Amino acid sequence: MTDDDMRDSDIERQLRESLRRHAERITPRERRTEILAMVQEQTETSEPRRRWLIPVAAAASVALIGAVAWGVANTGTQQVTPAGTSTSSTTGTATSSTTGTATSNATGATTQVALPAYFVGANSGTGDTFGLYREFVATAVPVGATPAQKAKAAVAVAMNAQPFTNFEPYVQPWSGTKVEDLTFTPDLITITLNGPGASGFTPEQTKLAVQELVWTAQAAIGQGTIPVKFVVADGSPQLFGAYATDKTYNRPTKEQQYEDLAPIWILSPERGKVLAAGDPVVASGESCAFEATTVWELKKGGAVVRSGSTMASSACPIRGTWQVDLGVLAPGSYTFRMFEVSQKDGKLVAETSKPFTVK
Amino acid sequence: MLTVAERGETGPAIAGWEADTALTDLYAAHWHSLVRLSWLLVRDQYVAEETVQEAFVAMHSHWSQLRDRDRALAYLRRSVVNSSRSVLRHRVVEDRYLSAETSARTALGMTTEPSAETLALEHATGDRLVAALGRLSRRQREVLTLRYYLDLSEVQIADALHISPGSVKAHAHRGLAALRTEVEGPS
Repeated sequence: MTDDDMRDSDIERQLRESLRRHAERITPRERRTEILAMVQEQTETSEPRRRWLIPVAAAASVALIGAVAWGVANTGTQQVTPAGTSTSSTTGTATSSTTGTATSNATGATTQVALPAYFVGANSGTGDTFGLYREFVATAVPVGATPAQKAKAAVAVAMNAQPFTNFEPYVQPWSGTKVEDLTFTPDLITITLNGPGASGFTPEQTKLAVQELVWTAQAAIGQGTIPVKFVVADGSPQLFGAYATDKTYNRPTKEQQYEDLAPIWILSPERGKVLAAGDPVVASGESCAFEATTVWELKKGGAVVRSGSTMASSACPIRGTWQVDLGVLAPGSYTFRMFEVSQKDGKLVAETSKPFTVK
Repeated sequence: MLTVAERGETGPAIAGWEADTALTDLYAAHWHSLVRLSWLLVRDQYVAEETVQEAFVAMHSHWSQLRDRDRALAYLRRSVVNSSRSVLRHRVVEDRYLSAETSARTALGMTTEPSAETLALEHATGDRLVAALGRLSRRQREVLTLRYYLDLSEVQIADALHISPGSVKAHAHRGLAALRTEVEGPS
């Protein structure tokens, strides 16, 4: 072996280490939502039905699709697209459009799309603090729906937490309220509601109720944090008697998103997902926890079979992503639960769980 | 009314299901490393995320030709390298790359702040090697990044870059020699 070879292997070791360290300077942000939405757009033309939402749809039972079908489609349109009928869509134009209105081209034929929707839910079983949770909901929209129509549908979904209340701690501050219109320009999203929201909710819940529509509309439109303005068709100057309609609303900055979002999200496994036996199971999600640390449990038939703690990519106030490798699991029904316990008094500050099946 | 799952799926829908599952799994396993790979090549986090996002979407739409996770992953790597290269070619990111080591942190297009530990470590080592890597030819930089960041074999690198394994070897050899000279000075 020559000196050159010796030096090269030194260089190789250093380079490997430098690149690894250098690459860790950045923390890639999650783009799963965007990728799902783009794939959805792209395949609407070639496939009659999408399967992303199966876990949600399956678990949410019959009520879900029925409940959201009125989102933008005119009443009386079919809620489930028969195979082969979804032959046209706005693929390619939907994401590049910069303005939109929700009131055009409803033809009667609908197609299923996965829309992001945010819901106000309890941060833990104690139910004393609340935050937003995100769901992807299979929703019928007219074939060729514009981004504004999809956003209106998503807002309608977000306003109806009822299909989820059997298995998630969501509240229904928009009960009895409907979205009448949604339009947007590159500078402003305008959401028209038929009423100012339900009464009997706490200020924390109503503030989040307004924010859930902001997050949902912005996510569905996918053009960034465009400010949101509300119009109440009955002329109310305030939502919930507190939030002025002459103001605009937006997502908080990254450092303050903990004010809106529930501290722990489990994004995978999705609720009710059926995983193939023999495949390793990886749980993943987001959290905003003290020192980035949360505790997890894997339950089977009510008994905890595995547990541990995990560290997210960043600690609160910055929301991080986390991942737990559960390995290959024996067939059965499981629940993955993740929680955070207060360092101060040992109280549960955040908690969420998702059931799934291995078979 | 039946849910989507309850209605059952047959025929062409299976391909969609496979594509979706592959996408989910590959995303979980490779999103971070592919974004970081792209970032190492283009030095702009937003551009890197966009690039890899597009690669995943393209992979999904080509699933009927791929139909295999290893092939899909190879496809993702090719897309990411190709797109990162076009970004460098068509935008002025290259300038940012060359000045990255000395300019303000925001010029890197990083949206996440490095930890105090990372900064301390960088300060200690000066990251001279990474800076030197940025001064190599594009091909050498790609080969060395794929080899030493993703730990790819010569054959895998050849596939990702559409060149022969022999060329991979040659680029790696020359690239390492140049790095050694940069770091240690001419002998």
